[in-house]
Amino acid sequence: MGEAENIGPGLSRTLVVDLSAGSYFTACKPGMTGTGIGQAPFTVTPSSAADAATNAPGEADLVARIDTANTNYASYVKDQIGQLVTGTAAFAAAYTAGDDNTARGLYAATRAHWERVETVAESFGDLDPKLDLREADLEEGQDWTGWHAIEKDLWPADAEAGFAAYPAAERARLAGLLVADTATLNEKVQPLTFTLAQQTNGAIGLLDEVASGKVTGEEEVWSHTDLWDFQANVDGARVLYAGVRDVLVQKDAALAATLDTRFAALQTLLDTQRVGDGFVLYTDLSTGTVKGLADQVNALAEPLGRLTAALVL
Amino acid sequence: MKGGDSRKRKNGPFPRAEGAETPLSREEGDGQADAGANASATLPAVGAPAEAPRGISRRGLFGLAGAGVAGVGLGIAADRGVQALAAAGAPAAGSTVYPFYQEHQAGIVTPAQDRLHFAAFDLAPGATRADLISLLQDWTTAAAALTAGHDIGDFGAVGGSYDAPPEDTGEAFGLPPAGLTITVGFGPTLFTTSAGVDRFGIASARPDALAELPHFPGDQLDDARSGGDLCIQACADDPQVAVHAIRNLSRIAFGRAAIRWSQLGFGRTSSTSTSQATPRNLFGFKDGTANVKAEQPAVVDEQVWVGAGDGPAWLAGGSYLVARRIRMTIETWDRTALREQETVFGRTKGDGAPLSGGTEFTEPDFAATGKDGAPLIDRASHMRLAHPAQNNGVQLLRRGYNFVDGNDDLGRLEAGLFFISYQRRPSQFTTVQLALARHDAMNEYVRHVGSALFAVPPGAARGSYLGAALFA
Ligand code: HEM
Repeated sequence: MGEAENIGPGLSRTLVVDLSAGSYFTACKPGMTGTGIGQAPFTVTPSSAADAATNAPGEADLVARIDTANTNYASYVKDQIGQLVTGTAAFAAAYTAGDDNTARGLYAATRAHWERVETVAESFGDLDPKLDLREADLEEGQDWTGWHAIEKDLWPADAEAGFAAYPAAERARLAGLLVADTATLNEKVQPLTFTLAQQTNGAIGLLDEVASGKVTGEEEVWSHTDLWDFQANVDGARVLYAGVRDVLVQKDAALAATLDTRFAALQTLLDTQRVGDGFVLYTDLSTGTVKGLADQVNALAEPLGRLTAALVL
Repeated sequence: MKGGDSRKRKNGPFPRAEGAETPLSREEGDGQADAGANASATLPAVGAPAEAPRGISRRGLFGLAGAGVAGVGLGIAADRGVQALAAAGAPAAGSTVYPFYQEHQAGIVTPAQDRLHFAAFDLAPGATRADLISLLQDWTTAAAALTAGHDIGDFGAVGGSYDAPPEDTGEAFGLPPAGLTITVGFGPTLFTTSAGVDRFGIASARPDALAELPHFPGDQLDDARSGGDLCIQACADDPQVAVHAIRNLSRIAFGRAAIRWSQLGFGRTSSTSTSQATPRNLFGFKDGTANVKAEQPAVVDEQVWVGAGDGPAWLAGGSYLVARRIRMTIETWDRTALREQETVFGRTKGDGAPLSGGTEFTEPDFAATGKDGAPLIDRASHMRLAHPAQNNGVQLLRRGYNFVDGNDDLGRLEAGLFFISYQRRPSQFTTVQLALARHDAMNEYVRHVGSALFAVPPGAARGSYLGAALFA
């Protein structure tokens, strides 16, 4: 029916379960084996006709939908990382060849594939720092590689005095590592499958990324292409949400309605900052515009935070 | 990526799904759970949630009616803190509870608490009349819970699903109510935006007096610290309790309204009851001596509460709130001779007695002169200029707070007085402030940098919500 695990001695934890009418008992199983100690019986009576009704329609149907959502999301991740591999190759080639304009033009659009599945990509603890570390995140003496190291070289305008463009050998090294690490990432995502909770928490995590890094302009401190990442995080969250929306509508229609409205409102607002294929640079946004975006991110992230609890039963 | 590992979600981005708990099918409707018996709603095998002290625990004890679009589940009002408190026996420190559902909102004639967190909000672009009403309803429900010393929401800070963010943010868990009051006001822009738009169909209900305050000589107002569609004044004797209130109320508002500016006040600069000792402001002077006090009901009725015939009926029994963020150049002040300091206020620094003689509560004698025929209470002194005798009998109920928000780039304390006054008509404030802005000797040491005016509706009736009459 339900369980709470990993409860240390002397701690208490509230177990919340959704039960149909009937007789039940609770038990504690130290070490997770045996019939349990301290059994306590209790009875559940129907709380309302509505509750009885929502639980009724085919559990099997639900399981099937959740299954489909998992499969679809796994394909989406593979597709995005596949495109990241292709885009990275072109970007690395231009950068190594010294074609800075082409490299700059590819930078944000290629990174979007990473940002769309960022919570998955950065779940590989060793690859994430190699590919996506910002200068501010470096430890003393750490080798700085990945997108942002190259970003600084391509957009040195805000760099500290005395910053020298990387020599050709360093460019080649960074580009080579970027391509190689992205290939490893691609291998690692192939066998992945996703539970429902991983999907819902992924959506929540992507919005957290927006709130903590993108809407503050901290992600792309040299290129100021934060809104590209912002859009990509939101894209990824929307895909995750769309995958589980059917199930949510059955379980909590009000939350689904709120999320529909808030996703749409955020997109509408973001669209006002579009320029051509891309967006206004972060440094060209007024404080008022940034606050408007931040408010709208809060407006979505707050109900989105309830998605896992609403779905994972 | 940013921030290295520190920003990773607790369990990595993909915590395992097994063992995830599920939301309890919500306790039905009317919040019948017993405030004192936390364990009753919990399945016994995994133990009861931590007991908070003395049966006035901060736990969410509300039904779920109308959770709707709110960020957290908010139920119908169940103001049980007062009963719980009564049942709990002798009050302990911090256990003061001011009833929420009253004729007038609490936090006005309530004896001024020690701490303040004040926030002004703007409605979200595109917010509808229904959004505004639901926000006021949710704020009312939450304010009733918070002021009674409860968590907000159905499950509070630690009782909810393990897979959901807690409804209540938790930093007041286990703290007593601490005399918390929550006072809500409506700014002029709620009725008509500066562009003249009537977003919520209430423009015709705007009292004429609820308009932007005039520019006063010397004003150096920062737009980002001024105005606002709505305000919440949270006062308590514990700063954590006041901050918890604003934090949770603004969280409830996400998507419908967002904070425009906010201000912490660490110490009261006023007494609103004769039972209170007079506190001191950052100039070191007693402040609040000649304030309007709760024990003067006739004066309060005459000067503070909006009368039935004053304007639109929805505001009768309410008041007008003026907030001014007044920066003090305390470094300069501190280099000023004591003689000059006392001359500025017209009172002694030690006892707060008028310079015309007597003790703190002796009436000032403005006609009294010294040896050269000059008035003992200087013509440019703050007290003389602000006194009702100079202002056609006008009085204000002052309820301000000291603030120090760190320091500025020059290393000067970013200090001052967050002035709040309640009055029946905004013109009472305007009259006094105009006299002060023109002549007050204190102006050399202060700068008004923020300003706002709000209409504060009367208290909510149980089962209703703050400002309901405006939407009737
Ligand atoms: C930094 C700003 C301010 C400081 C430090 C300050 C300080 C004081 C002090 C020390 C007193 C005398 C004690 C008392 O009766 O409370 C006083 C009185 C008073 N102040 Fe202020 N004040 C400030 C701003 C204002 C403002 C903006 C107003 C209104 C526009 C105001 C209105 C009054 C009134 C009405 C009195 C009572 C006068 C009387 O009836 O004797 N004050 N203030």
